Amino acid sequence: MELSKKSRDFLDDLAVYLMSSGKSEDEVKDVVEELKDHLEEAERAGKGVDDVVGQSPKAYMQHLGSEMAFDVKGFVKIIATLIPNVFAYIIISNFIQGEMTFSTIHLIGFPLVAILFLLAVSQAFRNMSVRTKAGKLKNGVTYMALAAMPMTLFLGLMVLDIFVETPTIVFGPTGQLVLFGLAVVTLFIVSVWTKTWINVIIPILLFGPQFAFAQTSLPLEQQLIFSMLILFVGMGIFLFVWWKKNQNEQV
Amino acid sequence: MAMSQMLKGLLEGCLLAIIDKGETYGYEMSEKLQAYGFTMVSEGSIYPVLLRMKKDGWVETIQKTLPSGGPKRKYYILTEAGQHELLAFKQRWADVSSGVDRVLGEGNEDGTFKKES
Repeated sequence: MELSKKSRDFLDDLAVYLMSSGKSEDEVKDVVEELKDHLEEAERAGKGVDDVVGQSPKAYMQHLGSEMAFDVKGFVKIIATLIPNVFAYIIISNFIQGEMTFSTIHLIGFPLVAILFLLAVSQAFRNMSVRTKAGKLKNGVTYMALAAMPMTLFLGLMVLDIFVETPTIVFGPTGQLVLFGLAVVTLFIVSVWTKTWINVIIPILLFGPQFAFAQTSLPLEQQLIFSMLILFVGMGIFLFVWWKKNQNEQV
Repeated sequence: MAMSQMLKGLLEGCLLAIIDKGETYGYEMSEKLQAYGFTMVSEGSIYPVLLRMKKDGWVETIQKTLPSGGPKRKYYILTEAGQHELLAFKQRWADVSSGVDRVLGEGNEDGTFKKES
């Protein structure tokens, strides 16, 4: 028998809440599976989510979470993949532009922005997972704030970099090529490690067209427009395929 | 529902006793609790307690495929530490309940209730 929507929503919210609270993925899967099993039997007996989790799903999620340890290893793994990954994107982008200069502000700022963003995303998802359905507008605002956050912070870094002089490393052509190679290898390693191709597909869609058009004599405006178009269409197709695949796995 | 510390302790002891009767899984445990009249807590409140008990090494879990096929189900078994804890709980409960009964002035030493005359 198919679980009711309310039960499925609760299980989804629970998974998001626990994951964004830094619990280990395996443990989360384990406890969500167990509750799913329970809810299925409870619904067969004519009971609902409220009978199982009590009056406040929020309190129940927090109670479960408090009995699960923070997954330090998992957190370190995320940071250890995130920071080289951020630099890989920046290096590839700089490589295409043919200029690679890193100031101390960049070197400290980029990882800091990445970590801040990660923490903000976790906190936002944790908040949204326990929010009632009435909070839809609030959720929309949260998504927008999250989307705007990294760009704003990066921009802030750039401005700071203009006004504050710090020791700077400039890479010549050979250095650029070596770093570019390292960046590509990093993207692949992270992809294999996290078992998802998104980390290879996004850079290809993002930088591939830019790089290809830069070799042509098209005016810069058209280059930008076509690059953007390919990026969005490509992401659309990728997300659609990914969503379809996920859907098939669930059935 | 905020569960009092006392209720949590009682739930823990009752779960130990139920698992001691033979390996069992979440829903079955909650059904048994309900059947025994332990209805002060919502069904799901056994899971945080089970997590804690596993962390403390009182229970172990095994995954078993259902005879009817489908996904695996998690079964709980008592460890030796769990059995010790169950004995300790029974002792504590005997002390507490006879004590409370006496305070309330309605109980005999052996825990049975005095007939009102």
